[in-house]
Amino acid sequence: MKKNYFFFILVVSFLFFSLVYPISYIIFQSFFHNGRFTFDILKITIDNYVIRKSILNSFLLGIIVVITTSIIGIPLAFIFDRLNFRGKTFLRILFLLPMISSPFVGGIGIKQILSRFGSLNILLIKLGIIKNPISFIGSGFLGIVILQTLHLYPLMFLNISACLNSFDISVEEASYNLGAKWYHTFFKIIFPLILPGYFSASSIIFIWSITDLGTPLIFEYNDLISVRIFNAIKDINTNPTGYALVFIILFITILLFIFTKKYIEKKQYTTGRTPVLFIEKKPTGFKSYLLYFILLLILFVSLIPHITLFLYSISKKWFFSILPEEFTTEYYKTVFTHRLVKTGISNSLIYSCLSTLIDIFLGFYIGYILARWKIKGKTIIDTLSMLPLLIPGIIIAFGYLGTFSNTILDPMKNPLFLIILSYSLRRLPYIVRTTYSSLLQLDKSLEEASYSLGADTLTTFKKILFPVVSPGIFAGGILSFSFALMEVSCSLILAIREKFYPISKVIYTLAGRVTDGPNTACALGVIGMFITGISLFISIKIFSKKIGDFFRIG
Amino acid sequence: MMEKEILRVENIYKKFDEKEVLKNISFIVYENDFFFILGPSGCGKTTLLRIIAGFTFPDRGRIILNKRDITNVPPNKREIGFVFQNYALWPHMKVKDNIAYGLKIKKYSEDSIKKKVEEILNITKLKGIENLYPNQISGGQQQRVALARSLIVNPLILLLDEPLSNIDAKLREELRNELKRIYKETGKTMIYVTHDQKEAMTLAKTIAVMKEKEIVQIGSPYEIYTYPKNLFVASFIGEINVLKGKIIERNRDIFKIETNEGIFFVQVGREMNSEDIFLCFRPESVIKEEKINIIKGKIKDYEFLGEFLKLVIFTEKGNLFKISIRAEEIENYKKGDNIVFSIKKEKLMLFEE
Repeated sequence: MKKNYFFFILVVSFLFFSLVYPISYIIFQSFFHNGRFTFDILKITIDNYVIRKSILNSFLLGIIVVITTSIIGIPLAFIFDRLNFRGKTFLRILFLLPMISSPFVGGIGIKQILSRFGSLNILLIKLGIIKNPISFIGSGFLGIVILQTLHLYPLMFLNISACLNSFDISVEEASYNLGAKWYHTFFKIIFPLILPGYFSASSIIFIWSITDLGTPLIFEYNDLISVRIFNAIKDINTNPTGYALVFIILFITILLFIFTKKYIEKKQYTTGRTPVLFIEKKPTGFKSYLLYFILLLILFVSLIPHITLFLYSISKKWFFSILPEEFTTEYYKTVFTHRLVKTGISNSLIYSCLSTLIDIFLGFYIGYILARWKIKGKTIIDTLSMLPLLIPGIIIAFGYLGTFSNTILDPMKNPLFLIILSYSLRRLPYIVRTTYSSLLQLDKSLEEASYSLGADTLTTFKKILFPVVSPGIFAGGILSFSFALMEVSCSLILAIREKFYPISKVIYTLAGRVTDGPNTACALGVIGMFITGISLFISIKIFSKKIGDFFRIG
Repeated sequence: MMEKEILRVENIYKKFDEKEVLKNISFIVYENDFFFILGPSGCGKTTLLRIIAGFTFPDRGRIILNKRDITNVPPNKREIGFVFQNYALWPHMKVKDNIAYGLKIKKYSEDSIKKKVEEILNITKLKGIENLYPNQISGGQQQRVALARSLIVNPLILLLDEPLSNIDAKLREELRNELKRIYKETGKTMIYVTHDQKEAMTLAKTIAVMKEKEIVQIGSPYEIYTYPKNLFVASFIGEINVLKGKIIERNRDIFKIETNEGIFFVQVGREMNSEDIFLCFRPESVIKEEKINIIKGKIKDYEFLGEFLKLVIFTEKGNLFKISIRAEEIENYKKGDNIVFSIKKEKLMLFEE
């Protein structure tokens, strides 16, 4: 393709408008008061005891979740990398399932299990283990930890798996061969080799955890930065605290990103892997039963939120009993008749379709520029188009709200444009990455050969480029679409009027209603989970092991 | 001669899932041997080496090292060195730390580690790069670091898994000589796995030829080349011409063979179990026309190989043969010329189908 500057300018203005400008605006608002530079806003924000507590709580939450996901994810990665057992491929896919729904949707289910008169308490009372119900959720903090852990450990699993995959098993054997014991081998060889990947996974999980908005809202837990930011929206135009908080998160994010990137670049080792002919270690007898038991237990526990969500959505009566006593399908019928639900579904479909189209178009074009053009400042476009993977939705949403309120795009009036912009920005990297990597594999001479035989740009695109990149774009598009469909932070923040609610905000609203609301919310959640699950499954089929690339920094 | 037995492999069987990969493998390696396991890829030779090292355990059979049964001993207690095909250098350690690793594990003192590392750097000619990381040195150097890392702990035997396969052809010859020198200087018993018959022929003292999970023949390179046990060995090691035939008469150790190129007389010192046989000869076994074992044909093509000239002969019956002749006779042979040659009866080989 010849350089087409019209599209190039379009790409640059998209990145500027959707990313650079709002982020700069946040930074500006956190440091400038009445046009003068000042640290006061930051200082006043941090001096506030309640906010300080929230920041500390958020850090605590992030660190705990990193630890809990490590405890589950790392051993899992080793089991899948080092042992051979029946059904391994299938189980590997099942372990990605917990990622398919936003934890906040699962929160409705978990509350049913852990609440004062929930299933767990009733089970324990019936078994005679306790007399009076225990408040498991307490302030809500524990519930958030549990849900985030169950949602995020697959990320750890994927990342560590990829690390283990990047070096040959012979580096371990070489150590044993020289007389080393397993602990020598682990601490001197394996641990240093997976450390960069572990660090990167931990950063992502940490940032994800402290910026998660939906889960704390469902548990009505307010002492976290994300909720404070959400609450600061109301007086966004008069109180700069929100900007300062968003800036703090942004600062941590960028810091972790730079540190990880430098660290990984310096320490990234790959030995390349000769294909393993056969993984020898095959547990037999008792050991294999134990293995399956442990794997299925983890899987079951991590799917409890999803299972209860499903049970909740079909239960007519579920009070003071371990499992629902009567079942009904009426809530699924409600989904298609309820006015708010119908609005939500059609809104979400519109938002997701349009944003996916934008992603496919821009993502392909950016990927093409990165792979084929030689221009100055390419690294800037590269960084900018990858940044959204990293920058939490809450920052983008808050930035949009601040930047565009009182303009023609004010989300108070009609958030359509901003929601689509935020959705497409957040999933853009998927398409960029997949296009870029498939184009790198396609030598430029293949295109040139087509031109030399007389084909024009369009024909070359159709016959040569498109067939190579289309599977990746297709899978990336499905992934973008399904994530957009269930997107939380931007949806909660940017959709202010009911008329424009997308699915997740509808679920959130319904979950808060006392009567039949939660059941319908669950039914909607199950439907969403189903769609995401199927699209993730299709993408996994197409990308196979490379799916992990979408959840990694650098 | 090689006397003292150092490694004995007895009746090793191994299955992966349901697929048998090693079947009744037995051999003995004597001290100071350079023992080659040679076979096409997928014949199980690497698995065999890994069983000796203890990375994989056999289903049946025993491994005896220095009179000690090590069949079930874990790899870190075997005193067997292993040089991996991909070298398996630790990318996060400098060359010298890679090399010193085994000594540190064995808790040698700082001083003696330093001395030994110095010594091995000299032997493997790695001085000057000890402070670099593995990704900063060339493939050939990496290979020698892997060798040094294994040699420094002074293992009873050293196993090498296709150590030259990742090296480009130009360097390979140089490294082959280097390996030979190190073998001579250290006097270490080595077992070397390869699919490259040239490597085996130039380096080995003993070769064990493997085919599909079994060892077919063990012997010195000369024995294996001159007296191959079957057609597989004959064609795997060196070039061979093959002609289908039938035994029509036998007079003591002289066999009379009928082929579509005529009658041949072959001198073989063993029994043949079937009448249908393959008649084979090496390209260099041909002599000028004699009274028996004559083949007539046209020169279709030739390759000039320096000292020798290899002629491709096409016969009227449609057979193709390759024969080599001394290069100075190049004048006498032209493409399209008719040619007549014969093979001595003791240089012809017979193999059952």
